[in-house]
Amino acid sequence: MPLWVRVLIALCLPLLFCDTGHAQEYRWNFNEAGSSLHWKAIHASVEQGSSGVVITRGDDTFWFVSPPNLNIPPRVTYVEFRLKAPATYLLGYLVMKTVNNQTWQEEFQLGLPDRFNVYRVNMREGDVGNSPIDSFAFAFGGLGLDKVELDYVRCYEPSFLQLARIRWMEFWSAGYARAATVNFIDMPFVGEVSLLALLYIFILSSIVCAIAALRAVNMAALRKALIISFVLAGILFALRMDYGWYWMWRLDRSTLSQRTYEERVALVDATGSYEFAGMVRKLIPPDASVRIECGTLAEKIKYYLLPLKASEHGRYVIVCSDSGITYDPDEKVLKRGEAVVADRAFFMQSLRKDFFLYRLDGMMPQ
Amino acid sequence: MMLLMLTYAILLPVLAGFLFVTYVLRSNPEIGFFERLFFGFGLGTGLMTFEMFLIAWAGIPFSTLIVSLIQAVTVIAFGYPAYRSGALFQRNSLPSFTIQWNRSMAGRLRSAFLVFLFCWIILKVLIVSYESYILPVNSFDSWAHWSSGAKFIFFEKGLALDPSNEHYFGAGYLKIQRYPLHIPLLQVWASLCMNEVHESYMKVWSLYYYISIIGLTYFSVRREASQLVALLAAFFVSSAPLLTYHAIIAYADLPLGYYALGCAICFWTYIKSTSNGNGHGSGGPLVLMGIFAAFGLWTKMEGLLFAAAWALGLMLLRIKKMSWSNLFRYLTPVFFVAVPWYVFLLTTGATVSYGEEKEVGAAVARGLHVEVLPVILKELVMSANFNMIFPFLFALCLFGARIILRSDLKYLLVPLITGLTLFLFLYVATSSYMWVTTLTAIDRNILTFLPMVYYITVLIAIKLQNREGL
Repeated sequence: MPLWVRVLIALCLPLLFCDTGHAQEYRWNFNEAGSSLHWKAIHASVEQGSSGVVITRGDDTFWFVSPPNLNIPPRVTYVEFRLKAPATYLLGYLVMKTVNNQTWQEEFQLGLPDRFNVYRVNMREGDVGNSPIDSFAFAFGGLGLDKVELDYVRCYEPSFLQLARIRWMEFWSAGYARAATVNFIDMPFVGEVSLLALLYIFILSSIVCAIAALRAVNMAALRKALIISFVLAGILFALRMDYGWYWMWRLDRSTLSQRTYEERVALVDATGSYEFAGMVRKLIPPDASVRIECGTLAEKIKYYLLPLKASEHGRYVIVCSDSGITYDPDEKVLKRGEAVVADRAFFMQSLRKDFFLYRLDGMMPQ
Repeated sequence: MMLLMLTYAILLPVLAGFLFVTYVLRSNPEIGFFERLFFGFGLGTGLMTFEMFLIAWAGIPFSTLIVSLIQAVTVIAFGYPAYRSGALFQRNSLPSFTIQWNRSMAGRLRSAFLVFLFCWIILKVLIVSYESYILPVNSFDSWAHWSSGAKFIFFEKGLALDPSNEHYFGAGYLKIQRYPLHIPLLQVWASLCMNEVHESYMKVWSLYYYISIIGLTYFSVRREASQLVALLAAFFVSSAPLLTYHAIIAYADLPLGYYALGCAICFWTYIKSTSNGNGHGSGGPLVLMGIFAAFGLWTKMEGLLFAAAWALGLMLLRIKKMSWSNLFRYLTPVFFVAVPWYVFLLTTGATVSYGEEKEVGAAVARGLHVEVLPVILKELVMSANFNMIFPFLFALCLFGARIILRSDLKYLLVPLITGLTLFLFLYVATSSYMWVTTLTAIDRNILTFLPMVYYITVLIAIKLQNREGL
């Protein structure tokens, strides 16, 4: 038997002693009628679909809560579910509650829209007490996410091989593609170890191997080995990072390409600012100016409002993303606590519960 | 129709830039058509926005016709001497891009690897192009300054320089008025041509800067080394994660990185021409270098630091082998851009300094912000933003120090080290340290060096490789 075959067999032997990981599993198949009977929907309605249970949003953030008293032991660490959602770029949340009434949440990024994607979440990551889980819930929200379809949910204790598979899939997870900002790009991890740390180990070991192969320890050999190993490691790094861009392209293509220009801008804006600014531009004269009371959304609103200009002395007021401001319809006053933000303010228009337009004079708009 | 007008908006300044580069580099036949084209993109766009700034300052309202006319005059002004000098039809000496499938297994593997790298780069550029053309403006500084200023200027058809205007010189829309206008004016020009503000198309300039960076890296390295090395260099630049992200959005960091790379290539071309004894006419790259340094400071304030760093590199070179006139070839364009811009800022009353000079004194007295050093080191070595180019550069410098110091490469390292030191000084001695500790600007600042760092690292690797006969 060749040496490499013997080495391969020796490496595979420990796998025989790995546990299968199916010791304890909690599973709900929602494609069977009545399977969601003990689950509870909050701010949503539930109906049986062809491939699972369809949860339709009623109001605000909507929830789908598991039956209570599950008593899931701490060794059951992962929850796996198959979910279809019409939107991407958004996060879903998994909220856990222990028997001691401790709660925490784990987030997951929605995958390709309008198709089932399998998600695996470590439900114990935020747990500090190590006590059994009484129940857990899915929470969804955000623009364009009006319904989700859930095929199955299973909570299980992964075996060594399953865990390796999970780690591998986490490493290639498309979620990283969106973990990109103007300031930094998130590092992919294999378990707890960053990709770069692994590549530095690779560089060091390949330098050692190269020098051993060249049978020479001198500066020339070292430089040669250094260049080759950095180039190889760099290619591996690029492979993973460019895979992230490929996924981002797939997400964007499936989400944006079929939409109109306005829909695309509104979807990427994701706050409603673009939509509301468009409404405002149609409602008020083009030479008017607007006062903006929008907290963190102020810059965005100001940007989307152009050619309407923002001004402290504007005859119109936009209030958004600022829960501190209240409107008294009887007094026609906008207030922050007791302080008057604007008086003689007439309500003109709103978008959902987030955006409001007022006119500042005694005349009601025609 | 809109895409057609956008193409016109891009091609017009590129043509002007290409003709100018062709004329200036008429004594450098080794710089081929595509390299001139990629140089021409940055030069033409920089020149166009600077002309737009001057006509706005003169009180002439923006219109597609006015800017097009000025561009047409520029094309003629550069095209005629380029034509007369014969530079326009000059054949370059760079070997063309070819892949030969020879019979040996090693040769076939090499060719297959070349094809693989080439396809990867093309695929990457296509993906980034798609993203750039489909994703609208979606980042904070764009909403608050770069695109916001552009949108404001577009609707005002000028810089709103009437003091009675509540939004005098874009107040409230150009959030930091001392920031140069190159990026906003590029977006204004695209919007003028399309006759509307298109949230995706008006910001595609970053994509073309990204493509130009890849192209310049390939062709400039190709002049020094084999096709494989040049493709590897282009591949690594194209796959730098933060650079890719900035190709999709509308910030100024990537364009500044392009201009810094342009300076580095021109500087090295000049050094090589003096080393080869080809002293005559080698001032062309220096003129181009000066223009790139000038447009760097016309792109982002930090461009001033780069301009100073390159000037220091040239000063050191002057001691050994450069005439004063060549130094002035670099300095003249820098002054031609910097002086009008800062005079304009002073006349508008825009704050040129936020008191950093006082902070330096205070910080030195109270103690420097040395806590930024480990953060910067971590970002250079352990972040996913830049691939592993910085550790690679450090390792090469460490193990090849003697060879580097004996070669002309040391002159190229001087501006890089100076630039990094100036940035470091800002972080350590002023309140800018908070942009490091909160990771809000440090990586973007490093990004401005990134294309140049890739280029210099590849040159060092080539030097060591030739020495070792890899």
